[in-house]
Amino acid sequence: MRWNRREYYDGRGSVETNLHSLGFFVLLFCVLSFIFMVGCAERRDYGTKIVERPEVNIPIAMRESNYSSEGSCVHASLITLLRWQGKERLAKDWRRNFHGGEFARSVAVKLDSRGIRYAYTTKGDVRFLEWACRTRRGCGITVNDGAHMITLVHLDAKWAAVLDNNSTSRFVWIPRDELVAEWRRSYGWAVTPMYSPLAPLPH
Amino acid sequence: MGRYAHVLTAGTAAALTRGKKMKRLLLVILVGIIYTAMLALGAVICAAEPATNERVLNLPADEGKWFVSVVGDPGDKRYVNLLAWFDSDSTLNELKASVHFHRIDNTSDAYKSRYKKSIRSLPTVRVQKPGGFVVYESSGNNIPTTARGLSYDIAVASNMAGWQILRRPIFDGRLFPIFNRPILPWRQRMERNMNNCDTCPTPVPIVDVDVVIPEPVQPEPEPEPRRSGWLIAGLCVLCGAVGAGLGVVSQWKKLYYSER
Repeated sequence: MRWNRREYYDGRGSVETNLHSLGFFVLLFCVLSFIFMVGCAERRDYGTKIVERPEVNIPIAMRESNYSSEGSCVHASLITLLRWQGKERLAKDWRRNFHGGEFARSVAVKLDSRGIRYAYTTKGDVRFLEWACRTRRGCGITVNDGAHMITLVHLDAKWAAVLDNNSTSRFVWIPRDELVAEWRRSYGWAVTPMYSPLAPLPH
Repeated sequence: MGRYAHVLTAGTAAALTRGKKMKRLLLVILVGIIYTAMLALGAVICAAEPATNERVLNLPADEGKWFVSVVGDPGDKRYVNLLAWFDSDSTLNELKASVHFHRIDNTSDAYKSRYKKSIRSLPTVRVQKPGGFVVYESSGNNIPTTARGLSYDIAVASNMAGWQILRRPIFDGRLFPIFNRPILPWRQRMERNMNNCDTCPTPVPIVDVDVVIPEPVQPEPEPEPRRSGWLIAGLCVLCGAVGAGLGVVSQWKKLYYSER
């Protein structure tokens, strides 16, 4: 061993130095053994931080398209939102039982009948949209003079993103003011279930 | 009412006989009752329907809530037990109520399209900050074997991340949480014994016995303190170690200094 040989040749304080080194190795062994026995909590690497845009980043598999010739845009939006909020069974039940055109009041009655927690407005209050996007819940909003409902998935100071139930393959980005004006022209109806949104992607 | 139409449109009162007058009167009363009933029914229906055009009832400002996701195979008993802990254990139940809690089956679209890539093994418990930062995650065999162990681990991790999940103190006189991690089999056994306490003795009430006041006796000389066996053993080991050390030193000296 190198330290032994060196001490042998120069012959200065060999015993003390060697014992000191031995003690160090024993201590190291003890520390390593302790770490091995207890286990060292190591945080996983989840990759780089992903900022999800839109905030309500609904995967394609969870988006519901219009499914009835009588019109089902309101239902499709609600089903998508229920899935996003972790209520797959309720979404399945809704898909099986409801279709056709709806008004705010008729939807409210149906939601009540199923015991679904929800919130809605027909006053065109933009704070409702802001709340829905800020809490990552999203909401259905009326457009085309109230003839159609789409899903609002993002709203910031400049931009809004929506998911059209007629073409769910992509998000459509619209200037915020434009969307809010269109929504208000269309009776300002917005509705959303009130459950927990899915967790963000880990990082 | 069609069959009575001729009655309502009949000639003047003078031309009506007494019987016809009576019939007409009864009919008017009947029509009045029906109209009144219809009006009442309409009022009830209107009252039952939501009168406002808005349902904004204390919208929760919960954007700052943390997320707890439990992911697993619904056919896996460990996953089912894990979910049951969040209902049966008071601490985990408290945690569940204060966060966005999600049960994510591996058969769901949410798992397949969103979380599958980031899950190492099933079942998994993951605690995240609102922005997605993972504060705590354990999966597969690394999940503590008891609900209490899991709640401790989550509480410690959350505290380190700057959020005290539990209102009560974490260290309440029990073993330091790091030892709750069931890394090795002997650790698992220890944790089981510590938390489940199947073998704990049943507490028995202390029975009061008649108090007998002893007669005053002469104090006996105090016996010499008994030396503990452990102390003797320790001393032996220490002596042995010292002797061995001295031996090594002397041999060392002999080996190196004798060559000079």
